Amino acid sequence: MSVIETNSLRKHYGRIEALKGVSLKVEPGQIYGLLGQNGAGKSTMVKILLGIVKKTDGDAYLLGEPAGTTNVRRRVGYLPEDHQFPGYHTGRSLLHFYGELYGLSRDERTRRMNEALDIVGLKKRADSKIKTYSKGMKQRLGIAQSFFHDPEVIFLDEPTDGVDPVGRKEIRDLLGELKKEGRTVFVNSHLLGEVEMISDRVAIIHQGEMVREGTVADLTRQANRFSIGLADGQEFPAAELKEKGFRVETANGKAEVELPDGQSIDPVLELLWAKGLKLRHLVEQKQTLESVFMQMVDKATDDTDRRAVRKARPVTARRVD
Amino acid sequence: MRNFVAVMKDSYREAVDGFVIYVMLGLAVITILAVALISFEPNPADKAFPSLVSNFQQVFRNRGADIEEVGTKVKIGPVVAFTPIALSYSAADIQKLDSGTGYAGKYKMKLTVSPPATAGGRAGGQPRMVGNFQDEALLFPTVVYAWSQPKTPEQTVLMKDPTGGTGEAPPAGKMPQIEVVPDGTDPEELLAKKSAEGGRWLMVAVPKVTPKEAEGVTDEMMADFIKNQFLVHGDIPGVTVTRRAGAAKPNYEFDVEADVPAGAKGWPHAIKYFFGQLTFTESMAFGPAVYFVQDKLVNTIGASVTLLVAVVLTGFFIPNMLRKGSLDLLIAKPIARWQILLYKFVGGLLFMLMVSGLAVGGVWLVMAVRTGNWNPTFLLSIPILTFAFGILYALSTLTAVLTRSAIAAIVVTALFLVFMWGSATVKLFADAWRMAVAKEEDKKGLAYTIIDGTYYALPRYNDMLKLNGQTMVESYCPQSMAKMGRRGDQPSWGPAVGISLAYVGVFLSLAYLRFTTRDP
Ligand SMILES: Nc1ncnc2c1ncn2[C@@H]1O[C@H](COP(=O)(O)OP(=O)(O)OP(=O)(O)O)[C@@H](O)[C@H]1O
Ligand SMILES: [Mg+2]
Repeated sequence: MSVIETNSLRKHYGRIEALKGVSLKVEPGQIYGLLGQNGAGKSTMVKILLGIVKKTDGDAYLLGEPAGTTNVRRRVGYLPEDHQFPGYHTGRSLLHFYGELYGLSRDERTRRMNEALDIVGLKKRADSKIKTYSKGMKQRLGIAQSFFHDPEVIFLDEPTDGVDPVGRKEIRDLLGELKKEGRTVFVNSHLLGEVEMISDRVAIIHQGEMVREGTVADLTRQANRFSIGLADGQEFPAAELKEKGFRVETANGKAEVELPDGQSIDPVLELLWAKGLKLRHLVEQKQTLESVFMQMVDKATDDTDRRAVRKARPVTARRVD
Repeated sequence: MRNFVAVMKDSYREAVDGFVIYVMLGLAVITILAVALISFEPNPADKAFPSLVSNFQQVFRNRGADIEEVGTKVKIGPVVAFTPIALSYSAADIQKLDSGTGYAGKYKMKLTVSPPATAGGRAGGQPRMVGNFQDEALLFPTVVYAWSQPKTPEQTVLMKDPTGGTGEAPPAGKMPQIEVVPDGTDPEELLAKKSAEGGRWLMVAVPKVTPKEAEGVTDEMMADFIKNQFLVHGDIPGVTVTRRAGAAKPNYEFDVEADVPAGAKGWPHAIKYFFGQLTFTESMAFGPAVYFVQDKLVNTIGASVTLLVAVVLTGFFIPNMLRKGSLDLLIAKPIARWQILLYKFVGGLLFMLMVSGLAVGGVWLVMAVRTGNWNPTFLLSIPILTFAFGILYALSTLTAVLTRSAIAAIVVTALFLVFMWGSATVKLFADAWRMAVAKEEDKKGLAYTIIDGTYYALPRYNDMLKLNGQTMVESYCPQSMAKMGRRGDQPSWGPAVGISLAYVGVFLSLAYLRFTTRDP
């Protein structure tokens, strides 16, 4: 059973279409990253799953139940973006309040919050009023409240927002720990490097539509592109390869070879071998998630812009009716 | 239930965060201390009885059972002014017969009833009008006869104002000219005729008691009358009265033996302030004083201020919760939205409960210790004030949910509170006016319909306070005072609570609808 499942999920805020039919599945024990530009619909997705906003159309299931029921929220943790905790609480009293809502007994609350505050490094300030916290401290408290009650799924909307580099590393490690404990973690972010480091799977949404989904390895593998280096003083046979239909670029004594579709690297190696050239360096090229993302977004923007124009007419026509 | 407790604790934290709650609690403590400085010293008997019997002028019909009084009614313009009959009652030769503790115990005294000293003054007109128009000695029996009747018929007389309209005392010995309106004559016509002849004539309604009826009043009836007056004004039940023979005409004298119980509601006290440094009054029943402090100072002025301040302070609670970053955190928890809204609402009431509980409870306790009056009626003001605040806070909640703005919530709610005050105050004056005007047709009209309609359509926490005030009067003031509170339109608990609850229900339901059906 998937922990999270959506089918053609749609959401309109008045005239704004925040989600235009997104389908995704998250399996238990994964760290799942949802990527997208500002306004792509990431937060909307999470809010629907938690029942904070109502979906317009489609299905959303959380832990096998329709998303948004009070009961299923008991098994879920959530860190919203731009959260504001009530300033009259201390870190500790806030966790007591939330823990009571989650139905934890006093002893349980005390034990778990001590652990959680320790993990996020907030133990010293736990008894100060939240209004005296720095931004990063609030974020740490936010993370503590998202997992201290032992949830099966944790939604984190921009978890590293406002946290310093050391803190970010700590948060990444924490997510790893949570995963190890068998929890599913759903992370919204536009910090691609970070997501790349921790996520098992990622989805990229753009203007409310899913444009790419898969494991990080899948998405970043750039098939058919190799970097080749020869022994000092040897000339790369670029011209010959080009004749055979390979695209070749040379720079700094290394050659980048792109294979035509359906070709393997073997003919290139055979040619080098035949010419007696000595291979010193051969690496299959990978992209960063960032460059994948940029490509996706560029492509999708071209697409959607054109589609948006085409779509606008029927919408106007309906309004006139 | 766990959710409820959690939200209550959260609301408590919110309420006690910041200094404002401490300012309010501080004010409550200052009020309590201020009240604690009021001292009530029972008058000694030789001062208490004269003071007590001087109230006997006020006579209730139907052997003291009625709420209406015996007296004369002068028509001035559209209004009718009531004057009790100006007999003077005095107590002398007061002796305590036993050595009871405090003022309780058996007393003996001589009670003298005499016509008003200013025989020629405006009051002097009364004996002539009421007492068979001639004989001052018939004045007291006339009053006793009128007292004994369920409803004495009235007759109209015309009196030439002896002051000539200046209001100043006329020269001694100058008796007012009186003209009885004969049966079958229109008094208004006669008044017009007399006024045309010269002078300022007044139309007066007096009890219609014939000389024969007055002469027929027995000594037993007079004794019963005086006994009843001790009960009605003094809350002293065990009294024996015998008429003394040989009093100089037109006076009446009685031997009175009174068994005063401890805590008699009408026993006069000296009411002083700040360790006796400041004297409010030398002689007054303590019940009315306690009532004045509790009902007027605390329930009226104190409550209004507290309600207004509480509206301002709690106006921030729900908008703060609804702020974008706060609400998501809360709705994502396993708590239903109706619970969030309702519990948060009840949490706001907690604030008022704390403040009014401290203020009312404290004042009550201090007064109880000071006067020995442990009657708990006043404590009912705590739930009433909390309920009154509930009406306002429901509106505040609705406005907050609709606008998410604390300022809007405060302004709308404060305006509503002022509107309710305004409506209640206008109604109060309208009622007083209607009780005073002579003609039935002057008691109707569009203005009254609007005033009454507005008042009855609004939630009526005022009625609840009034009802509680009346219960307070009934339980610790002498009957004479309680009777006055029973005059005019009487509110009742059913509509007062019902309409107010309906408002709370509608406000909260609308807030709930808006809160659950739209995305935050
Ligand atoms: N309450 C709302 N009312 C109206 N429009 C909204 C509301 N919330 C979001 N939107 C719109 O929906 C779209 C998606 O917003 P969403 O918050 O889901 O984006 P996001 O991917 O989380 O962006 P970011 O990275 O900036 O947080 C945006 O165009 C936004 O303006
Ligand atoms: Mg977002």
